[in-house]
Amino acid sequence: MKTMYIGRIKKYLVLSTVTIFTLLVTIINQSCTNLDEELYDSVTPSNFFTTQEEFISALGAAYTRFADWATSDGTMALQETTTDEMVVPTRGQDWDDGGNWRRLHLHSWTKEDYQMSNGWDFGFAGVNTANRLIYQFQTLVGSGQVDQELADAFIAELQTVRGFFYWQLIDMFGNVPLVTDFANAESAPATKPRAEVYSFVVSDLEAAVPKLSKAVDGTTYGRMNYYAGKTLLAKLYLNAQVYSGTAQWDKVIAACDEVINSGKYSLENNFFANFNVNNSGSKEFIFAIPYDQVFFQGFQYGIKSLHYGNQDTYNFTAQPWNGFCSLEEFYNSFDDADIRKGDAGTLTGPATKRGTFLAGYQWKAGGGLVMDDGYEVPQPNRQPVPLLGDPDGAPLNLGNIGSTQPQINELGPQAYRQAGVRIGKWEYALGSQPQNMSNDYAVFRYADVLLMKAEALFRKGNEDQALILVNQIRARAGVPALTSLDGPLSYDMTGPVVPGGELFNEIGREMAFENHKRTNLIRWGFFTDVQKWVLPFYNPGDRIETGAFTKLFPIHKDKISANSNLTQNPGY
Amino acid sequence: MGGGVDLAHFLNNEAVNVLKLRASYGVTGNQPGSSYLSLLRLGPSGNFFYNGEFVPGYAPVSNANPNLKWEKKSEFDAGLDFAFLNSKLYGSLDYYTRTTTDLLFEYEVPVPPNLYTRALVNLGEIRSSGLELSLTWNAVESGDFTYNMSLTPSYNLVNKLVSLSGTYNGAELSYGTRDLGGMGAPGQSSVPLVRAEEGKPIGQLWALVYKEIDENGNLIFEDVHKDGTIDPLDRQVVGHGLPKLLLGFGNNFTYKNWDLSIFFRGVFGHDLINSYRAFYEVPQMIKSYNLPKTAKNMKNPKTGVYLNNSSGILSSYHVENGDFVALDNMSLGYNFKLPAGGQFNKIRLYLAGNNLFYITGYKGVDPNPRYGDIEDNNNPLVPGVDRRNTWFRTRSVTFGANFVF
Repeated sequence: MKTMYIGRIKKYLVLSTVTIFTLLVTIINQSCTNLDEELYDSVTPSNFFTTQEEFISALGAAYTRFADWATSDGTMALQETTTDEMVVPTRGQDWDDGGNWRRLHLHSWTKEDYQMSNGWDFGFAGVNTANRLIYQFQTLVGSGQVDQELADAFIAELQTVRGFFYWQLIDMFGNVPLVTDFANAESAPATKPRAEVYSFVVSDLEAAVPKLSKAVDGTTYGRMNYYAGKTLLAKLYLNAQVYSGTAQWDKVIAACDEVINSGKYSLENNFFANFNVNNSGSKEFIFAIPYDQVFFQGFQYGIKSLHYGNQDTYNFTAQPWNGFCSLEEFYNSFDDADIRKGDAGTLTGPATKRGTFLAGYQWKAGGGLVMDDGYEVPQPNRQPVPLLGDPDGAPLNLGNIGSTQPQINELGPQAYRQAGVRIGKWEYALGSQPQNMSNDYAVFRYADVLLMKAEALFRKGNEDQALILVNQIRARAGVPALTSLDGPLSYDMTGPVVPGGELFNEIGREMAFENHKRTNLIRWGFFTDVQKWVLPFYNPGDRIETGAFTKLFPIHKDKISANSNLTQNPGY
Repeated sequence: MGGGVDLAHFLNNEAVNVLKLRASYGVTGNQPGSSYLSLLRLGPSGNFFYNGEFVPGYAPVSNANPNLKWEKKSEFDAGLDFAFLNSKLYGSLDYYTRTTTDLLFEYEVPVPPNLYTRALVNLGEIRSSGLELSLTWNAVESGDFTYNMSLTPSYNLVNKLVSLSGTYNGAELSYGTRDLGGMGAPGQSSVPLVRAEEGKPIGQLWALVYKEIDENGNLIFEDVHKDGTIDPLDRQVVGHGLPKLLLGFGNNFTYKNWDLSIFFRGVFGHDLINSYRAFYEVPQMIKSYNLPKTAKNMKNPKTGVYLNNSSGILSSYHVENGDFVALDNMSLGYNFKLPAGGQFNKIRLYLAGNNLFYITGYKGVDPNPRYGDIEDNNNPLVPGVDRRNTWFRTRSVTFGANFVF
């Protein structure tokens, strides 16, 4: 037994020696070598940004942030599915997702819902990238590597890009940190009042936009030119009452007039020229995101909205997920003659007119009806509401057009899988990827400018002038001119006549699904009417929230734990 | 470093053959798997449409952290080696405590001022301690028959996430809590699985609390937050992913030419999220896929109305105790006595089985603890998740012969 003991001691001695030796080696190492890493296969700011090409790549970083504009998990979810024109029902086994899609539609979202985090990141990734590039351009000018004049134009463009992202941030979250200096940014910037951020962004843009290129051609396509800058300003002025407490209708009109009177833009004769696969260069585009299935990915309506069976309609490379769709009242607020509505497929053939919606019976690209294999069978005993089943059986009829049943039955927990007319505004190309569409996406287009001006005129009491603009939009849509802008609201057609109601509806129809609806509802004071458009829901845990605090989203809890100087919006 | 002292010298008791106290302390480092993590790196980030063509755009893909260093694991171990009764009973008892500091963790950092939403920072601290006993008893040594048994229980006393907070670039990162993991598609995206919480055990399984299926087939959860709605604020700790007790129990018998060994293994005190059940116990989906047998329980016991949801929803209902005892290994052998000078010195025929049975109440495929989430690089902060792609462990039975020349 004694030997065993000595053996152990030896073992520990050996171990200790090894430890000490290791320590020595470590100390020696530290004292004699430069341990700075040299990079060979990665890019850092110090080995980048040295040639003109890299310059442009660097500028590009500010624009690649726009890719998330039409992805469904952030800004688009926040700006659209919270409104009367879009919803993500819980269908079949899909889209429960912890209830967060239902909460978005019912306005009972929480600070833990991940879309809040994504919306914040969308905004601040853009702001930061712009700040970083502005700083880098300024440094290069300082060191004489770049011509002041060239850099000035780039910097003004970046300020405009930053202004865009700040616009979205104050629109969604209201009170956000205001960071404009990359080099001297605070480590944990505090939230600033919405009005303060608004007034900075507006004055920053007012200084920068005049320096932007007035060219409307390939050199400015997909970038912020002078007119895009003016349109952005018009958007900010249009919502100035909400953002700052003071309306700016005259400024809206002046900014829109700059675009209108330039003569460089006009309405396309064909509404859908703005939404075709090959829509780049539309005369209506003021600022567009040049989505591409290879080079600029992120345009996802195809996969997020269409029914599983629609894969055969377009020979998609992937099966769609049967999610986002529109609401019955919104669909019905389009006149059947409205070119923008399109028609519905029938049992004898597919839809003949393209529309904002994809509705009715769906047909395969090669002919034949699309079948819904998982169609709902009647469950008369289901409580509290019996499930009547899909009245037409297996053929897929989006929205059950022509049937006695509602187009969308309910929000959850078990909406019909074929329910809801789908988003068809942007053309789906045969054989394309539904998750990466190649259509360009107009963030700002001429029709929007006309409608913004019309709204400002209307607010100033000039309904006649406003009607002229609205009727331009209506004429193109093939619907009769209006003589009054008052009317019942699109989500409450049997309700009272509201001043400007028809204008509100027309903006809704023209700009459907283009990420402006929530902003519009809030500006018009209708956002808290949610109970008027929300779908019936029978999930006992779900609840509608109508409090005015919902006009701002909460800051996601992880953002606050990363920065204790952020102040949560009231009500959360 | 370590040292020890033999107490048997001082006791001078014949029954005590060895009684030795020892202690050791060591620090080891753990390096992350890839290089350049301390630098602000730019990566290809989509393309930029410039003058009619796409040019690649570059954007930050990581934040700089010049102070990045190794994780440090310090371990203290105090042990007692013993042997009694002419070394018929011997073994060791160890108490260990392990502290991992400077834990590398990807933090959400404030944006602005940081360029990228996350940064790799050495901030976390994990502490674990436990008792390990190893006991061997040569119980019978009489003529033709011998029997010895070994028992190796190890008990986890503490498994704690001490801290996930600190500063990065001057900003206080305070992670009181952080929800990790994600159930996934279909229908359960962004549903977290584990709550990491400072000062609490690692592996707090985090979900809604199941109450009942009501008379109409509605799924009812506890409204923990008491606001009339079921939302993420109603999630609770519904189990613990790490085991408390691990047990090995070996038995070796010999009788004349026969030998038999039986090794049992048990693990106790851990819970598992049975994600297979959480996804597929949905009677409504009978037309779409084969339901697990347990789906027939998804109804109100009084009215018999089945669950009217068509999506699986994770709740405490799908969190199960994973205690089990398994017969890991058993072998029976026969040794032929051979005359000296022959071709072989020894021939042994044996029949051995691995993974022969489990005794467990767990309804899933495998009740073994999951120490990290396989869908998240085995993230050790997300233990206790039985993902859907678990396969049955193979059971093998071997018949063999050993020839010794």
